Amino acid sequence: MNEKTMSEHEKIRELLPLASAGVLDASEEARIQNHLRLCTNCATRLSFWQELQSGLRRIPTPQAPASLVQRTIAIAQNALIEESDRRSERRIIAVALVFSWLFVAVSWPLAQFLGHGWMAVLGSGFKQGWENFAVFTALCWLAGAAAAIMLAARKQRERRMA
Amino acid sequence: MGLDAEVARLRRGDLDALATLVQRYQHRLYRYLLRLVRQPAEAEDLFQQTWLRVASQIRRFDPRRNFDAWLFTLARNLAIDHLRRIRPESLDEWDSREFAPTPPALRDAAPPAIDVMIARERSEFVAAAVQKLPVIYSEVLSLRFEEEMKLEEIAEVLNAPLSTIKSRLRRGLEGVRQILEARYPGTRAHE
Repeated sequence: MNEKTMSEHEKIRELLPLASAGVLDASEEARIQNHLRLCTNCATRLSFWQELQSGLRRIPTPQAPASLVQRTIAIAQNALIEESDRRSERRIIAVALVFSWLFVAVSWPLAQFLGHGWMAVLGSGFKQGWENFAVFTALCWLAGAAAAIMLAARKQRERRMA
Repeated sequence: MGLDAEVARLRRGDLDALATLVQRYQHRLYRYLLRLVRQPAEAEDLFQQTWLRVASQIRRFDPRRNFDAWLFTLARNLAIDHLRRIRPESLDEWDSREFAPTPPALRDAAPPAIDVMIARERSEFVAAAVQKLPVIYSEVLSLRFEEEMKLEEIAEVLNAPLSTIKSRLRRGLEGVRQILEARYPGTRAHE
């Protein structure tokens, strides 16, 4: 057997385990089949790998205890309910925040209009007043957002530690 | 009801769908976790943690994905984190000497004739050999031959390239062969 044949032989032997597992591509599969037609030794080895693979498929399967499954269903269902409640809370908070923002944004010009009529809203003094009010409101919202983020982070940490 | 329908119901928060899925995957998932951690108590704990994670993350699951691969990925991540904490050495690859290519003089010898073993015991011997493998090889064998996943699915679960999966599969099979040959000397068939 010359060097080239030995090298091909070794390469085929490297592929045999994967061939038995059925994971070779078409060209590798064809290469092996061509080689096996001429090499009974490799054909014998392939049989071994196929037998080993068959043994791997028949390893006894451990069964999950029934009590484990029931316990898991109970606690996972509780977790699902809690997750659903958390999502509802977040939705309510989001709606409340949007409503609050809109209310604040609309209340200032509305108060001006109700107190002093259209001239108060369209007059030059309104613009300055509105800017001051907008800055003040923005600062309040930023403080609120920072508090909400810190509270959420703390809740997340507590949940992870639990 | 089909798997896709159950998953869709679970994403909508259906508690019965969750129970159905837990029962559907009970043996497969437990078996996979047991193959990884090799301790029944730990496998049970991880089994529960996996489903808790499913409950908290199911709404983030993309229904176009393979649910099996997603579920086993969650389980694997939990198991690997667990092993890293308590038995990091179990995640090591084998010493390269144990995977040294078979010397040429032995290469032409026939593999052990495991067909001489009683058929019933054969799978137990093979199971014992798989238990001796490092986790990174035994999990690929488990996913391929017990879960019958395709290589692409295994690559998704392990978050590794296809070439790595093929390599681990081959090395795992070689490892089982070496263990069986070492354990049962004299069972080689003669050419």
